[in-house]
Amino acid sequence: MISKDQVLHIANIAKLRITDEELEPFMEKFDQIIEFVDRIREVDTEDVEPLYQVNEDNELLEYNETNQMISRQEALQNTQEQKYGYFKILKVVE
Amino acid sequence: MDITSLKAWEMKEKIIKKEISCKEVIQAHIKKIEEEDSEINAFISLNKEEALRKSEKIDEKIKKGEGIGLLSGLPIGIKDNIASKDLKTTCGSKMLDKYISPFNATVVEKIINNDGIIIGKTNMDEFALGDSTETSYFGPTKNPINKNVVPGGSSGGSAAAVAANMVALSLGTDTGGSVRQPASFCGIVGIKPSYGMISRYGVIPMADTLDHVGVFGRDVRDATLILDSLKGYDKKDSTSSKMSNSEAFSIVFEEDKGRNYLDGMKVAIPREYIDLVPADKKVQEQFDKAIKVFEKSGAKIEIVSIPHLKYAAEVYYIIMSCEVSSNMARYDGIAFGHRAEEYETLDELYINSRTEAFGKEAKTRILAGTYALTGSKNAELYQKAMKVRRLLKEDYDKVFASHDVVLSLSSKELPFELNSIKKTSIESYKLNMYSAPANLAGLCAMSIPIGEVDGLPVGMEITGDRFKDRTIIKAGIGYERAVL
Repeated sequence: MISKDQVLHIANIAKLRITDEELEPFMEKFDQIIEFVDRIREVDTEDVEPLYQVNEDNELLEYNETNQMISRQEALQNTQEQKYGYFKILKVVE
Repeated sequence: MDITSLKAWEMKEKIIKKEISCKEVIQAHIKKIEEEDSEINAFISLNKEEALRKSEKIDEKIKKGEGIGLLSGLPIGIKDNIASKDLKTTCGSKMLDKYISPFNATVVEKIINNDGIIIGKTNMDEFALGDSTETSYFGPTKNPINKNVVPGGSSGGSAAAVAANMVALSLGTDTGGSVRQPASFCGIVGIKPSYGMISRYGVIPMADTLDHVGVFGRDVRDATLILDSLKGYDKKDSTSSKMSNSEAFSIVFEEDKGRNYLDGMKVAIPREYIDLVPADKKVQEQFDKAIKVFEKSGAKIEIVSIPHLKYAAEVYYIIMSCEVSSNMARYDGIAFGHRAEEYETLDELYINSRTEAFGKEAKTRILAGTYALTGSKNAELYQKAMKVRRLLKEDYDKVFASHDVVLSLSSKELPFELNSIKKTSIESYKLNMYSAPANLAGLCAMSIPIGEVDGLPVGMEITGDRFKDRTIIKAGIGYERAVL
């Protein structure tokens, strides 16, 4: 069983708020999910390497080339608040 | 003649031969959308004026005898998680309901360069997290075959738009079956090519190691036509493969018309589907009937074992939710996306914006993924799932060493009723056992209609090895030739 505190801790990491009414049904759902996925523990994976990418020819590194994809104006077109050509956020340091 | 009921390749032939103009084609489809879409809700936004303007340009090109692209003026729908410059790209979410991408996805560029005409952006489950298109912020899409049932998901709008003749072809994305299951539910063909075949640059990510762009058409030839126009290496996508620069797949239709591709084909049927999750008897009968078609046409059928298939839904759920939780971290209300009106600190800005804008299923998967990535669970669940994934891939490698294709049902379920409880239950997660293995192992797979039960479509999945996409196309064409 997952505890209330565990759920609130995960929600805090994920930057989500769970209301008091949502908490109970969510804990129930979460327990079901954990029970569902826990079955993979029975698979013997001794000496098996994790598989992160199915194709071997993926280029994981990119050449460090400068190229302008979008303009500053375009980069800012979807923000709610901008100032002096930058995204405006709250002050986080005194 | 109702232009909209033609196959895409038939429309293309008529446009090129000047039997119909591209403008007539586009007008007919816009009319269809105006008549039908208020009820079906396949589209989130439309691009009518621009589509008409482009159709005139293409007619002009044809008149002048200029070269015409592969998609020659065909009307196309694009799933709304694919970035399109100057058109909204919402991902079916409140989070992005005002978002206008400053650039085109590579697939959008390719459609434009191949003279395809984008009619609109199609409805989807929020951030592609669903299998019924009911979690969309813009309301559910109805199945054109029967408006009381879902079209499947998450690419339900794209599938419904093709099935209702509102577009000739469409694009979807498939992370665990989101092209193949809606294709099956709407009675059309859906192809998810091999991982790395189509560029994902500009496709809003859900789960990076599982996401694919896929295509919809009314038959295999239609789906192959659009697949050919999209495939190919793209340096803007680090997961794009140079193996995708192969010869066009439509060569299958040009060489040996009428050839029986099923003759001698080595077909594998996994016993795990039979043993573990027997389908509805009537649905199973349709599958057995389709297998008989393969057999009669000279295919060699063998029952095989893919032992780790029985864990595929669990492995999929863990990897998917972990990658989802990581991808969703970008929605913080700063550079784009919904921003809450009330907040006092930066943390509150993040929390309020995300809590207000994400739907229930998105929140559930973000939290499940965060759980599986945090602390000791990372090794116990995420790393473990990645190991089982390797075992599953190796199971398939063994099967494909001596077989051409694997056949199964695309979904063991018939399209279910709208607002039924299935959409959020654990039972629905388990259904991914049919479609998710192809994503976990990067295999190419197609859903093709094989019949009906109680008036609802049933689809068969044809799965092939990585970069053997031509083989599944041949199997699909072979099946169509045998039954038509």
